[in-house]
Amino acid sequence: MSALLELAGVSSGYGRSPVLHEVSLEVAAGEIVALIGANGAGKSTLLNTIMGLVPLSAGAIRYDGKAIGGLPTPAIVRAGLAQVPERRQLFGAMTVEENLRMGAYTERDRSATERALEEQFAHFPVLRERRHQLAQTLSGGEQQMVAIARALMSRPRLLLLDEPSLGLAPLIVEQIMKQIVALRAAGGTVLVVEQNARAALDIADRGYVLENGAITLAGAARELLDNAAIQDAYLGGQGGSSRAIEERIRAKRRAILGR
Amino acid sequence: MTAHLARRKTMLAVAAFLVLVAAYPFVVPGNYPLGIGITAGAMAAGTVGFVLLFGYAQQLALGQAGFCMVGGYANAILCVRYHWDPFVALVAGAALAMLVAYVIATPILKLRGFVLAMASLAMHFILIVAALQVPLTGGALGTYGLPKFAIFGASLSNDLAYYYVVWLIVLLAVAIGLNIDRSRIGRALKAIAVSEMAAGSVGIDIAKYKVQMFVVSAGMASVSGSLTVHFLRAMDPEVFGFAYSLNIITSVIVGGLMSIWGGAMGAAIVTGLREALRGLSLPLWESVIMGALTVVVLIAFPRGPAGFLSGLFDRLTGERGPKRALGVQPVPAALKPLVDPPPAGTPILEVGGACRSFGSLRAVNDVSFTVEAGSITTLIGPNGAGKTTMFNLVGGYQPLDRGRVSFLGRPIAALMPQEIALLGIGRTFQNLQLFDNMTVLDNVMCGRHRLTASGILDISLRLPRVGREEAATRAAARDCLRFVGLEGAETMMTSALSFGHQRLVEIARALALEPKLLLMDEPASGLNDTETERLAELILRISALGVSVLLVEHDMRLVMGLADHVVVMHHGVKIADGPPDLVRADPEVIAAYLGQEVHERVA
Amino acid sequence: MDFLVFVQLLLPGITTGCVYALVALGFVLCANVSGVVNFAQGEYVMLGGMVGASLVDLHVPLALAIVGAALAGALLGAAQERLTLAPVRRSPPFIQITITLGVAVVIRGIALIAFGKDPLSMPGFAGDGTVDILGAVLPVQTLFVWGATALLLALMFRFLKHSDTGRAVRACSINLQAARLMGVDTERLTLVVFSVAGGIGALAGVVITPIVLASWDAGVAYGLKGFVGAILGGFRSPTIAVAGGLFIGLLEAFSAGYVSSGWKDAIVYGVLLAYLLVRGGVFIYGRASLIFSSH
Repeated sequence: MSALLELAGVSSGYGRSPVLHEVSLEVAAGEIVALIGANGAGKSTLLNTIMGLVPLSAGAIRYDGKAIGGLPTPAIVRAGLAQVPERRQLFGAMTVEENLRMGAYTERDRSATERALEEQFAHFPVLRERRHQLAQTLSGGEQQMVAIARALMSRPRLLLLDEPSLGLAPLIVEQIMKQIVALRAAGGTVLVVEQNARAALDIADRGYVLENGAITLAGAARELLDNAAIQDAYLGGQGGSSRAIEERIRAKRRAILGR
Repeated sequence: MTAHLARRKTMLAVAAFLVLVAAYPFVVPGNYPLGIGITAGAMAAGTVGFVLLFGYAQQLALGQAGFCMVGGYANAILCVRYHWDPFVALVAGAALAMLVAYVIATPILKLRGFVLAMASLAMHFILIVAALQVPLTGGALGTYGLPKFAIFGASLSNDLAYYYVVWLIVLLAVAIGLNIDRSRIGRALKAIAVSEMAAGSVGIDIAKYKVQMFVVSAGMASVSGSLTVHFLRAMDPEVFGFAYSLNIITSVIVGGLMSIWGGAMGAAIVTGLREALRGLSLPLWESVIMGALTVVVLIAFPRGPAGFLSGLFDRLTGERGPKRALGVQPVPAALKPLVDPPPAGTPILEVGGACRSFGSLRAVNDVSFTVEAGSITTLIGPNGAGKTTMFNLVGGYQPLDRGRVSFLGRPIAALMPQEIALLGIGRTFQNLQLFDNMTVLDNVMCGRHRLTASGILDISLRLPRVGREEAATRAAARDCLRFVGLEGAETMMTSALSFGHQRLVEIARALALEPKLLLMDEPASGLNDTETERLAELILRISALGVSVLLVEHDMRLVMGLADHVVVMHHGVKIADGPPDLVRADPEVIAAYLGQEVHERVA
Repeated sequence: MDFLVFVQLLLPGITTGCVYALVALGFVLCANVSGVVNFAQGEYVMLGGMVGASLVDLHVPLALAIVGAALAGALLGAAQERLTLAPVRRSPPFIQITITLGVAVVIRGIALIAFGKDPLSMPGFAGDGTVDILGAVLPVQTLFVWGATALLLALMFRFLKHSDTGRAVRACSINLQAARLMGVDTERLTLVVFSVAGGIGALAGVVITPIVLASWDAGVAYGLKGFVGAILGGFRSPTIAVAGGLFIGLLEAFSAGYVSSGWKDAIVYGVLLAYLLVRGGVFIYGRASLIFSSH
């Protein structure tokens, strides 16, 4: 299976602050890949770097074999990627329909946009009901649906989701995860970034763990789910290099503070 | 730059100034050029004040020419109608202008950016309308027949004498400006220009200094107005109109926004340019050229000619050498421990039932915890847990909806960040808020702000105690830099340092405050493994000084390795509170981080 | 209160208010997409009037003169954006604002050189007769001003509501980052918006010149008064900005009529000041928060 998306040695960050350190990962066509990690690990930065919102300081990003690192965002969207940003980032003061139409901004063909709109309404009937309502008046779950539908309007081959479960009740999270699975069934490819490791790994084929800007674990989702190393990644203490550093710090503490 | 070199630079500048001013009437003889020289000088006296306001305080108060009007009319009315001595009238005008400025400064400086510019312009236009309508000023025709300038009866009927007096006053204005630039107020202004958040965090009262610069600028503008009208022998509403405001802005920009000497140079250049255009029979081109000059200079040469010359001096004296590689000292120096720290074990910070909502989102929901004096406490939690909000509540950057926060028993929830800094609470920022328009040493010296007291008057007059305080500040700042291991970095600009080193500068700056409590917001963010370990060691050494530490952090190695006490938040609520090993084994904490088991497997 | 006097003040007030409304609209459009409040906005009005009047003087047919003026405004707007703003996009807002001030001065200066110190006049589009409305005697041109303004506003709102680019402009004002994620080229959009604002300003200038005369230094007053209108609308809503502009036109007319024509400017600016000082502090409206919460 060839990789639809490939990151090789990617480093990036905001201004002087380096966030990602030589990250390499792959997403094959038709897969759901989960990228999990604690807050501050750099997950959003990774997605923003892929979409061209954050400049690349080193490494390469390839989509469908073509280099996209350094391209402006509109070009990347037109190539077939779309992102559902963290916390939705809807255009609250615009209606649901207007939000969806914004998703198709790069589509030149009028009729294609209308077809896409119909598709999304068919997929999310709730949104058809609320099409003329302002996006900010919708519930959290409904807003997440708008965000996903909006991203799908550009008919992306690869969908990037940034913490879709954030701020949502567990029942809604379930629904969202079901939607993501349905996307794969329809032939799409998904890279989902999550703090909620269990929810993400439940639906994913493979997963990567991001810690402090670097990939520390990778493997089949089922294996990672059972792996105590995940717990280590979040809370430390079970093993690995994190533990060694932690131990050294404790030793210094005893030496300097005497406790 | 060492103090010695800085003095050399200033002496060179003063010498050049004196030579140019003295020589001008002889190099370009004649009454008309002398008049230009006087006009340029009168304008220069005000431009220095505008540099302080526009360049340093970054307040785009475009209507400052209104204060020139105050001075102009003061001298016109007092000298013509009431036969006052011109010098006394000048002082009276300046006093009036400064009083008016003081009164309107506080409300008007609450506005920012473009809004301030327009409001200030509006004020100026209102003044012009008033001058046109009110009989006292002589209406549209104005007041004329002003006598020549005199100082306590000694009339300067000789234009040459007046010329020298005017430029002497310019030198005085420059001296005041330079004194302010080199002082803690100058540093405070530069700090405010870059990051108001960080300025507040070291105790800088932002509003106060903006008002001070507004008032100083008004005074200098008034003097400028008085001097101008005594040359023109008349005053009317058109003299200091919108066109004059534009000339002022151009002068400041052409001279280099942050340059005191540049202010004087800019005024001379702009006046000279106007005359040159007039001489070439192109007076109509004045606007175009001034405007174009402004645009071009701002885009391409923001530092202006004075800045260019200054840079030249630096290069010639070797101050701008190639970046020296900076290593961190292997064995950093010690620092004086806290004098009189609160007794260990007693609460230094108490948060009780803190609540803060944004609309329907309860970011912080009834959170209570205590930081014990002398301990290292960490605040952790998954994304969206509310830790940053909680942190900002403690730091005074967010108001508390309900509950209380007390520091050593004293409620601090309603205080502004600079008041909190004054109590002895220091802070570092996750996204680094360094003052990148200053050297490393200057950044750390800013940290001493709350422990120093020289005021605008002392500084303008350059009283000896100001020098003593500066020396003490410098020494203390050096000690802090040595403590974090950055001894060689003093004269480097912060932007030349690596990210890890910049973090250290911020910590040194916070330490310079001599804080009893240090708040650190994700200090390990952006650091690699080695830097993280070094950071841990630094935090331990800070704790050894008696400073209590509260840190928000994601890096678990740091959290679990350093902390005496860990507080965990999730969805705005505190879910655990205890020693690290207990907290990491808490099933609720684990669930919070790893996520709930989804009800049915969906794959 | 004499109704006739009232009407004789009201209707011309609406007329000048139309110009201020269009200036306010220009301010809001540019600020929301680019984050910059364009000091030169008022100068485009002046320029439109000057160019229109000059073209008519050169015996260019009226329709072409109007188009020429609008084109001049649009091209200059585009030039301003490309040459003076695009290079400093990363600079602090303080610098960008001052640059627009410099541009305003340049435009003034060019107008002075090209068109001279004296005000220019232009014949009314349908002659210089008068018309009786509700008992007040007004120049026929008044109807053109109202008509043109209504047309421009209708076009503008249609553009914003229904066209893809217009929707993108609105999206930028709500959430710039998300707009980029949708593939909106915000830099190109800034160019578009500045051109449109320039063209609208110029059209406003052409249409009011037969009544008010065009003078090289009139730009500042248009800009400042239009700004008051935009600010009353919070700098976010184009609709309220327009209403604000009309309000200022009325305020000015009534001040001149009922108080004194000498003090009318002071009253308008006084209202601005009072509003700002009472409202105080930071204006947090979408994109514009950049300029208002910076120094």
